[in-house]
Amino acid sequence: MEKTKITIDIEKSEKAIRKAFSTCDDLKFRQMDIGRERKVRGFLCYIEVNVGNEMLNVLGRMIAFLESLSAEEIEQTVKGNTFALSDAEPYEYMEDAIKGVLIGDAVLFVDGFAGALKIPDKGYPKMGVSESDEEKVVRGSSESFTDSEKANTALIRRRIRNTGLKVKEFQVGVRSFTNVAIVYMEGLADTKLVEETHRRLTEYDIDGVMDSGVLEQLAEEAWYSPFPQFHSTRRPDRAAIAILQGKVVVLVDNSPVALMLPADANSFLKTSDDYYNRFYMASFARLLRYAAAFFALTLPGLYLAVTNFHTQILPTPLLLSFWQARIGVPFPAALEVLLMELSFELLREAGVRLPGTLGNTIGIVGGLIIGQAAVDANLVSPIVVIVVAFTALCSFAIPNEEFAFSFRILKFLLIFLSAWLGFFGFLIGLFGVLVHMAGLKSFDTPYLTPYVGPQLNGYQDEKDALVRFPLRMIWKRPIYANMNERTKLKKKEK
Amino acid sequence: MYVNNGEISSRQTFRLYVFDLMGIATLLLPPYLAQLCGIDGIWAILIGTGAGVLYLIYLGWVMKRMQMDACTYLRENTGVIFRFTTVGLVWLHSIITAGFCAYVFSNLMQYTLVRESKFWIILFVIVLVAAYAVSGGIESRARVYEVLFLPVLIPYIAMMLATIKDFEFVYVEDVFRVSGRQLLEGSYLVFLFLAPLFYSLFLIGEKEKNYGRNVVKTILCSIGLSALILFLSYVLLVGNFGENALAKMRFPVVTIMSTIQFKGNFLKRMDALMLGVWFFTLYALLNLHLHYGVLLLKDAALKENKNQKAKQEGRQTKWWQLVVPSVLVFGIAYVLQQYEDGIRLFLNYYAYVAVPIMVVLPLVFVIVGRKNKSA
Amino acid sequence: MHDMSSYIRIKFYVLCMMAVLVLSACAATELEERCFPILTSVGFEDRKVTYALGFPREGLAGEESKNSKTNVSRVKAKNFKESKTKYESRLNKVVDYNHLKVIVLEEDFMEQVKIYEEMIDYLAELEEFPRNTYVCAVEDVEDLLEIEKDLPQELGTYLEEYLNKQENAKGDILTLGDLMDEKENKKMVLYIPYLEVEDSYVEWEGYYAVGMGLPPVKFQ
Repeated sequence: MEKTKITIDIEKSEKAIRKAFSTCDDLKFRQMDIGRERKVRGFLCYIEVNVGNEMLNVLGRMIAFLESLSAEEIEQTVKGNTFALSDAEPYEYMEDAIKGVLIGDAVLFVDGFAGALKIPDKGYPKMGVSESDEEKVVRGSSESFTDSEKANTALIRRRIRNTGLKVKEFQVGVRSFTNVAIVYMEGLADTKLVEETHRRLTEYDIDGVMDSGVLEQLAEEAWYSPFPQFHSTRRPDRAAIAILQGKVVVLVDNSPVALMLPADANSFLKTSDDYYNRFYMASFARLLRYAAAFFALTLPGLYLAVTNFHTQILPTPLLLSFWQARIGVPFPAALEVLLMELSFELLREAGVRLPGTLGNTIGIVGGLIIGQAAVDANLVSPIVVIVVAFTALCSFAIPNEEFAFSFRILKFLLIFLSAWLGFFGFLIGLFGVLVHMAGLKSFDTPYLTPYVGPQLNGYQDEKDALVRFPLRMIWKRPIYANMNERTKLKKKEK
Repeated sequence: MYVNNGEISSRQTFRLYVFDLMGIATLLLPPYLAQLCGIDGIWAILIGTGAGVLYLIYLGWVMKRMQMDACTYLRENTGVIFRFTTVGLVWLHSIITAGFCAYVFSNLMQYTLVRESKFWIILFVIVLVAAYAVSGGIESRARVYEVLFLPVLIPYIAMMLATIKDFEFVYVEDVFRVSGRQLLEGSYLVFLFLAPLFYSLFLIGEKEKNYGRNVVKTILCSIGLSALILFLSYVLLVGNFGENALAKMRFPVVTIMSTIQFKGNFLKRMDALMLGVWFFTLYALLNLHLHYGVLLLKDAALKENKNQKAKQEGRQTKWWQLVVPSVLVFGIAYVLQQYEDGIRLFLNYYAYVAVPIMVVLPLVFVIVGRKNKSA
Repeated sequence: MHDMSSYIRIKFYVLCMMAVLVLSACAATELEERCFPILTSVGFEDRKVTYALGFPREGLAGEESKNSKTNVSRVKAKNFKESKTKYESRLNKVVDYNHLKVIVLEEDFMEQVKIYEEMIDYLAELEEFPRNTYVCAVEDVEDLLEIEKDLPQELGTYLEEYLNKQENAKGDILTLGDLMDEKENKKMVLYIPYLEVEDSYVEWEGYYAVGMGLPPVKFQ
């Protein structure tokens, strides 16, 4: 590709660099008049969050030095790199200068100098970013988003070093003026999606937005649904993957949780290390999560249906074992299951609210000791403890907390229906949930994608659904990406 | 990408129609067919399917003449009285058939899963959830069955194939015993279960020169698969139970599920779990009829308005457009339950009233529409 | 407006569900309120049909289980239906036949063709007994029930396992479903295993041939 040489005309350079970074509100341009007579124009270009003390010091020294020079001397100094600011050759081409900005340096343009100077800096923020407490992965980065929208944008930009990565900033909150950024890849994300996102996020006048969750609830179409229609994440790499798939990421200042959209049920069961691990491991883990999601919803209901209504399903020794375990228990099976489920939910909630090691301890104390004591006192049967514990385990295997919560809530519906109408009630509940999910949409994308309409994308989306095909076979972006930019993987021509 | 336009894809159409056709057919048809034709019911299935294919081709011809879905065609090409009469007839039929489906469904569930529960409670829950499913529109419903297709069909086929080990050839030896009249009656009976094809006239097809061609091709595949499943199921049922025993059974395809035992299988009996097959397929059929019960009511209430906003509002279902058909469906199912053999009562209505009208009506649409156009 | 109507719709659905819940009651029978017979014995004595059930031993582990009695005394009545009903009314739990393994028919009962056929018709109509329950015949049901205490497990399980083991050597095992179907079809001859009680064990010594509309015939 032919490169563009930087000319001595600073206006041309400024125009070119502003064009390249259009709608990139996190990029800053500082214009200055330098020299003794203040006649030489210059401008500095850098990523905002990058302004550290070191760079301020360097800048200050540089301006002070240049202030003592005449216009002709400035030209010579800059050409000869007399004050040894740049640690390498000055940029000769505009594309290199742009790259320099993206890498994390500040770049200085001076009128009359056919080049640009790199002023080195620490680069993108690496420290101050903590490890992710949630969304733990076996392989991959452990970084988590911070509370600063600027820092979060930089974390994403560090992973996608492309001018096509656009950051559209605006404020929400009548009194809080909270910064919100819509981050997307120009050309990959559907423009209608970006516009619709912006429209929905600015649909309400609200006092203050303290977290992305507030905007999420206001922007959701089916607010009554237990299923989330925005996919939340604390991981920058997850957000970067989503952007490269054609999704839009919403960052809210003061919130470490980014929102990715559109969301579909399948995406909630994926993790970022699904793409870092080999396809056997990724597929196995994915299948496990699907099974876990199913059992998290259905196991207690199935247990009630089978033991109270359809004893013919179980083998005789197992049935007799259940029967024996129930002898002496004062509560009906349905109430027993309900009480145990509520107790587990209480334990979970207590564990979350209590600080540090105390929270971990309560899980052990509650689960083991209280559970065991309840069984010994014949308040509950051991089989119910196993069913409830396994159900809880399954819900923990669901990567996204909000999505897992919807299963936790709906499980009670199935418990109630199964206790009332047996397997028929169970099927009714399951069908009702399925019908609800089928009618749900996230920004016009059906929630059951890619299991519905896979033919629209040539059945390619199914390669990253129940199982994950080898990466070299997933060459197409998902259905919600821009139709003209669906190819994401191609072997290089020799 | 995705558009809210009331259209469903070919894939969804195919899957929906397979469920609509095979579900109730595999459940109800075998004992009646065994009574009429015995093992020769297999020929009746083939002949009846052939009749169904011809019917579909005829409907395709009608669609090509109409060049749009039936609701729009009637609104644009026929007079008010004719339109309301025909739409009213179709609406009434949809409600009655939906009521029948709800009755069979509730009966099946009560008989096999929840004998201790009252019929009306089961019926109420079924109709409530059906109304909820229909309120989401045809696209939402189609998505449900698109997802459920393989999880329902594969276990069913696997279970039926597992019955091969108990197949008795002595039960299927006596072929070509039945008289021509019995064979024709059996074939007509099979054709009755293919009558939901009539609703293909109301599907919104792609705007193309040969309007309806894709719909016909897709539904033809559905008929093929459903007929194959029915054929295999019938052969296996006769081979396992014998025609006389089969003729006396209520839901033989469910009974056969209770006899299947896999060596080393953890579960003792699978019949309760396999009822999921008819749960979803009967729901598909019930939803189909209830959907048209609601759609035709909406269409009748629609005011001719070119305004975009009004059109959009017209597409949304008002509460009474959902509640009235649902209540009627409940009522009809409840009334059928009071009869000793509600199924036979309905089949008589279907055979002598509904299906002949469904055969003649499309032609009447075309004739009247053409007459009005030329006038 | 749309939000309001969907809100009202949701409230309507929820209220309907709650109304139904209040008006109806949970119809489930709890697990511990049921008993699960694994054997049914049908005999004929003093011109009456006798009926008894065999249950799994209470407690699947421990010394007491080996000696615990699992049978309730047989009852007698005019026909199968009445004796079954009478027997069930004497129990303190609801009978759940879903785990029934074997039906044992006494020779004298098999000879009462009309009563035998009534039983088959009744079971076909009732649909309570699983279709894949094994069927076998013995000379005297009391003798068979007597040996249970010497067996390593309860009689029903023992007979089921014994028949499974002998299947390859002696022939196909007959199920209740086969009997019910053949009574209608009249196309095949079915062979009910005939067991002889010797000491504390059973031996499969012969068959009762049924089917083709003919009365049962014993041969060894």
